[in-house]
Amino acid sequence: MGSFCFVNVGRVACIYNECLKTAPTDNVSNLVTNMDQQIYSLIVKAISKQKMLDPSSIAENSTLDALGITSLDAISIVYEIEDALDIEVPNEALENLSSVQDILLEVTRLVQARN
Amino acid sequence: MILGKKVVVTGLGSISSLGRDTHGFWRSLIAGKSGISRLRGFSPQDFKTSVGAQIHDFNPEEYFPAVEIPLLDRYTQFALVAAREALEDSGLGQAEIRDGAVVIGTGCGGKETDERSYQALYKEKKRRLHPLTIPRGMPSSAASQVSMVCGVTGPVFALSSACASANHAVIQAAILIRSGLVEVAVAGGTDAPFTYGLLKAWEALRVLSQDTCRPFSSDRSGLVLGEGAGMVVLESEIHARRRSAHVYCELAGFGMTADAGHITDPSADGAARAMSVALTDAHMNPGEIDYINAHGTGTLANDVTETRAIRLALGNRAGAVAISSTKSMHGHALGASGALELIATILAIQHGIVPATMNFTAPGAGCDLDYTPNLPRTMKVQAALSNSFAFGGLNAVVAVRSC
Repeated sequence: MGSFCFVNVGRVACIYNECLKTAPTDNVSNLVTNMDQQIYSLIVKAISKQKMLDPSSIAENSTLDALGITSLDAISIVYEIEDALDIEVPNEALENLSSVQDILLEVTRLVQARN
Repeated sequence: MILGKKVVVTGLGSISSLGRDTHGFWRSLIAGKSGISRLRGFSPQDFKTSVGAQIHDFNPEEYFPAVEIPLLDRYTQFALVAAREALEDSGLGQAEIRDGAVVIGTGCGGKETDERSYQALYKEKKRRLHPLTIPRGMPSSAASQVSMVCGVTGPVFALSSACASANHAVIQAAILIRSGLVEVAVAGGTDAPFTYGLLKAWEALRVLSQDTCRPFSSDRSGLVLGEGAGMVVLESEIHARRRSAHVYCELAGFGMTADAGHITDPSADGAARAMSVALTDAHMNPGEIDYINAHGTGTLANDVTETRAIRLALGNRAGAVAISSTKSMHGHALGASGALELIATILAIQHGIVPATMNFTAPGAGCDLDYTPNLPRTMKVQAALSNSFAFGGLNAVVAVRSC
């Protein structure tokens, strides 16, 4: 396990860190894409769990409004993601999230910053 | 519609970050002094917020015999300090309060006791708890202790409706008096929410400001937790006049509604209906209201919704009424807040001074009423409303009138 992968770090982050440690450098862009995919899956899972939605009904360009996500839903969804990835989404950032893509970008940014 | 006896307020008592008694509370309010300061008793790195409206250096030994302290959670200690002051202020004798009522609201109950016991069990792996854990921590502990210490033997109970607990408690006590069940009652609210677990829970809800409370202001960033207790003595007017008591004001009416909507998002309609019901109950029209002590938490959602609710309930009068949120000074003391704010409202009538909404920089979007920004206002207050709107959509509004 990578040196920056702590006990409470979620599965996705561990996979990412493992890849970084072992991967040849010319595959980094693929890895980032893989990481995005992993994070995206995690976000979809968190949304579908909170809103009892079929994951296939959630798209990257879905707005949170269209998915019926209230502010209370949003903090619960973000809590799940934070817990899995060992990151913290600041309140100011959370207030500006209005689509699945916004969440993906913000979470990816925080994961990269953490690493 | 008022059925039964007229209810008046004859005693006030409080303890808060603004003062150990009501005199200190009022002096701070009209000086615009804030009780919000850097959080004490916690490691700053453990929390995102660094502020609270705490009662600093409160030493229970100054207030209670050492032998009683093991039975008193901090929230009960606050309730006792405020209730004793209110009863003393009312001038009621022991015989007169014996058959009265005690109704005490609390949002949290004895959290200090609960959390200490969980720490012992789960963290320190202790195998048994202090024998007084239940009687000290139970949500009715404060009501029981006030009845015992003050010698009140009539209807005594606790009541919980989150941030509206104190208003619901005062209203319940007023109903007992109106109905003729009792002649006098001690009612209010108490809470001591500065415990590690509760602070973490509030932090998780993402409504805590990281610096200060700025109700209705464009740069508002959330609420600041507070602690304390507020108690009023309510009395039937006949009883109060017969003993020539000092009467602060009439508790003229009240309104209670539920949004039946969302667990945290407030509804303007539910809040407006509570104000309208209170006005109707008090036989008042909106034109008679001079001041509203707003719920005004400083969260994005509350302040804009409450503004809309005031417009809905008061119509054209809304723009002419002085409104303020004293939470900008005493913080949000949860189940105690309504009582502290009712006391501020009653004293605004008594002294002809409306406390300000402090920390106000510019009106927030959709916040377009007169919030008495930053400076208290000298004005005659004949009638006023005190608003409390709780999570879960539980609304309780008290109307008071000079008499």
